[in-house]
Amino acid sequence: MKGKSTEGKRTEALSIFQKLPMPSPKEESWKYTDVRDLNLQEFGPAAQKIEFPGLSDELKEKGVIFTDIKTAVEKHKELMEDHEPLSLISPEEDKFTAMHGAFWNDGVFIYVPRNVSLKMPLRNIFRGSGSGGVFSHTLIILEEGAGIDYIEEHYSEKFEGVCLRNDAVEIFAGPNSRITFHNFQKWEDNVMNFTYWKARLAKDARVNWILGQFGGKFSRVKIDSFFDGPGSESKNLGVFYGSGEQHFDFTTNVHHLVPNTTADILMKGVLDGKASSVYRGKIKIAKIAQGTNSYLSDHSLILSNGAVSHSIPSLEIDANDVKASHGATLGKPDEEEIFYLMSRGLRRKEAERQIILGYFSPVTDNIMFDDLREKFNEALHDKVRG
Amino acid sequence: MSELKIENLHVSVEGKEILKGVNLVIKKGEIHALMGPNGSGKSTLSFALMGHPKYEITGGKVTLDGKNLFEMEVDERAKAGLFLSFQYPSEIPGVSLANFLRTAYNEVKYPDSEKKVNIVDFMKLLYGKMELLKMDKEFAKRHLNVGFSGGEKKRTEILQLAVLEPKFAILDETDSGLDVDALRVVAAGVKKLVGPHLGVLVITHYQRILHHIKPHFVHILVDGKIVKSGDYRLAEDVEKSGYEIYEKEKVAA
Repeated sequence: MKGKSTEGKRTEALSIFQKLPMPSPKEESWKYTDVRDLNLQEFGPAAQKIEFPGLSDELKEKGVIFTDIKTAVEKHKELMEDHEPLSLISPEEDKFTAMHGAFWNDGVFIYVPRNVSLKMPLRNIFRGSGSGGVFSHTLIILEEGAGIDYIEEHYSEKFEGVCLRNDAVEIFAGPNSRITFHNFQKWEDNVMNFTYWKARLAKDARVNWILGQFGGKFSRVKIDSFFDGPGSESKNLGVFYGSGEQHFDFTTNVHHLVPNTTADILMKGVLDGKASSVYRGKIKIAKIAQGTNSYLSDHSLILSNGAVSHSIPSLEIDANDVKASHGATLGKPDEEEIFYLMSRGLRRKEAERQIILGYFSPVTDNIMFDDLREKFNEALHDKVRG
Repeated sequence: MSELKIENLHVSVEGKEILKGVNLVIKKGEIHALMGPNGSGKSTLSFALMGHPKYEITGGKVTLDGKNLFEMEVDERAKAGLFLSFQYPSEIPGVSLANFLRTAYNEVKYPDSEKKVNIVDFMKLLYGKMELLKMDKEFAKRHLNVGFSGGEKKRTEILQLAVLEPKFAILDETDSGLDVDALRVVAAGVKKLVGPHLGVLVITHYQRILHHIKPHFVHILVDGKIVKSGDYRLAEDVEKSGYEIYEKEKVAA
């Protein structure tokens, strides 16, 4: 949809949104997530606040831009020439991406110029404060050799009704650029989330996704990484913890399109109460993408008889000189381990907490920011106690 | 006087009776050795006392300072002052020994309060105990038992004993799987911890650990019952003649 005005795109997305039926559980990607009872007309724009910390003068002078997306669309059009919002995520993808395309109204824009590498992370805190729909769009452009860590934290206040979040993240990672995108959400159970993240990686680019999903009534996150340049690498590391009647729906797709690219995916979930989850992981290796390394592993720890987890890994490999694998495990905490820890004075819940803390550590050990890692651990602590 | 009192204890595992009426009283400051052939029920006794869910108490009573052990959860027994050094301790990935022990220390020392030991104070205490047991400080950072050798695991068990300071400690086959040097190190550690404040039950198949930790009393367990009790000389008899004569006595009785 390049070349169209922002308004033109919106109108087109709206007509697609109106045309498309609600996804049905008959469609493979909605098999375990039934949204037929959801009336999308009910979700008029809702209040949310995005906290923006200021940029240092030094970074401003270097040309780094970190602002809300509306300002960016007006002021930095030239930077978006090849990377307009919604050039990665097509409204035609499904009903929800079309909805996002029609209604996105706030979000974040980050631009990092050539060879500028930030030591401190950029961070936004998203706070939903009322029922309705929230449509945030995050666009990140990294020029050649640029490097950042980005953290998005999501919270919701306690309010009546439901907030439907329908966000999108698009990352353009230039040659030899580097980003670790951290997502942490601890919503109240008044949030239903549909999020789509997409990244394109040029030669030798590194895009890492770290996600920590703890709250919400429902959360669906779909991540697509496209390896456009040789030598590019991506890690998807995620932890989630469902309790009560929470439902999680995660998808990671890695698209190896050129030779010598690497993907490493690790998802670790805990499910308690009547919580449920579905994880789909796809490794796609094109015919010319020789020398690909792609690993996918997902694990679920089930704490109760009422919890359910589905794992659907798939490999589509058209090249012959590649290394690719997937592995999935599903199990309960080891009773011998719990007994051992309890014999040292730990209450059962505390013993389970220690085991889960350890179980999450292959993911959380990759978080380089102590305060963020601590937030993951605290969220876990609250969950076990809850 | 603080005591661990076992009266006519019967324990079954998966419907099969293993302990068939064990009587034993351990007073604070005493070291008891429980010896017996494989399958006599030695480890069953230790797991049953600690409260492993697989071991079903079918009769008898155990009290720690007058309190019924079987009315307590596993963690409550630890808080009441019971400690079990495992023969095969679990490996817990992702949990550092120091963090885990600090959590356990808080639970055991301040069970019903929000009070917690200050990290700096705890590390001082931990390093002190590690020095006592001649353990490298690096151990504190390692994940609990993960990738530890047999000897390292046993030393870590004894370190936990040293930090948690229970009233009664059961050492379940602490000597098994250790070579002579490792045994000497572990036994030397235990020796530093015994004293008037601690009651110890050393469970062992062989006599060799008893050369290092000299027990006040020795009991022979055969087929779920203590068939003979005596002083240290009983362990020497076993070393000379094995368990056969006690097994025969049992059959004859």
